Amino acid sequence: MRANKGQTTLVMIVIIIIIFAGIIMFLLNLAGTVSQKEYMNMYSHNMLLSILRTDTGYLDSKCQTMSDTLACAFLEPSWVCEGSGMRCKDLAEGLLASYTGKLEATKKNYLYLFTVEPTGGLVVRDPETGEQMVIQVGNMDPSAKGDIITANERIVKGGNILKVQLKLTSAQ
Amino acid sequence: MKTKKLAGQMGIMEYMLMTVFIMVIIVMLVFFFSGWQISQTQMQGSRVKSENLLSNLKNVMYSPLFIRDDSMFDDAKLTALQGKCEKVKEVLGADVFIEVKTLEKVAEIPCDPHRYDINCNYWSICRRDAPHSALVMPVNVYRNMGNVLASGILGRVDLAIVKVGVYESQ
Repeated sequence: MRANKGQTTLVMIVIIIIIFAGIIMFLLNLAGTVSQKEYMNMYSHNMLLSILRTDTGYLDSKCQTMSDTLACAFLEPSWVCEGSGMRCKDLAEGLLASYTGKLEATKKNYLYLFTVEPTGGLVVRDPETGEQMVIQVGNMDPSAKGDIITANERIVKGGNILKVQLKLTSAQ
Repeated sequence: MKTKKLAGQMGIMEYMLMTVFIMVIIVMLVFFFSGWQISQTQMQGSRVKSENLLSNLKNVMYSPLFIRDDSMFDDAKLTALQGKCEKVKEVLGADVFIEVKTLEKVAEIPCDPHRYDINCNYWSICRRDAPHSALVMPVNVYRNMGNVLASGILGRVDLAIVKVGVYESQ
């Protein structure tokens, strides 16, 4: 009985050692991912901001920059951007796909999802389909879960607010 | 008497078996921790390296020497700094290089420091052919002569990628 008690204590000590080792390893591994996360966070915010600030190449004030074109897509859906012959929504979707595609070529292991939608009760219907308008461009599954970094920006125009969101994750 | 002796021997055997079992576990743990410690040291090294890279990237993206606004490079400043590696080294330190490329064209057209050209799309500062590690980041480049119209000259903001790297020490 006494010998058994001693053995149980020894086994308990070994188990406690293993549990402590596991906890220490987990904490140290957690610290290792901080720098990568910081980079991805910076990447997503810069990607979003840089795309919104980029000039489209058209001189029409309603679609001069990417953020102007997105605002035009939601606030004046029928407007045809001068020089492009396209509605702001089509132009915005085309340019977003083009810009994100170019950036994707430099970071092939990143998956992203760019979403633009109105906020504050503003409902915009597509003049062609009649459906509620949301612009979504990217190569990430919208229902994807896991380690996703989210960057948010707002476009404020004429008292209306558009929410622009970029979700980024690593494919590995 | 005989049964008592047998029980004693069994007890000793059990004790020895337990001791061997615990010794094996301890030896395994020692080996495991040694291997893990080595991999942690390597990871620590690469973490310090990537933190250093990230810090250099931030320095470049927010330094008034290169930018017009936060993470928006000025093409005139970049063009003027081409070939002025020593000046840049004073600010960023030795062994750092910068490359900026706008993304509207795939082909790389290097910018000439002696002539402003709106069609060029690639600037490199302190770049040489040597082993390095680098980070890239989406940014903008402000083209001072982006749109030349009859009514005047307008600037233009292009989408670009900046690559900031550090040469591996020999």
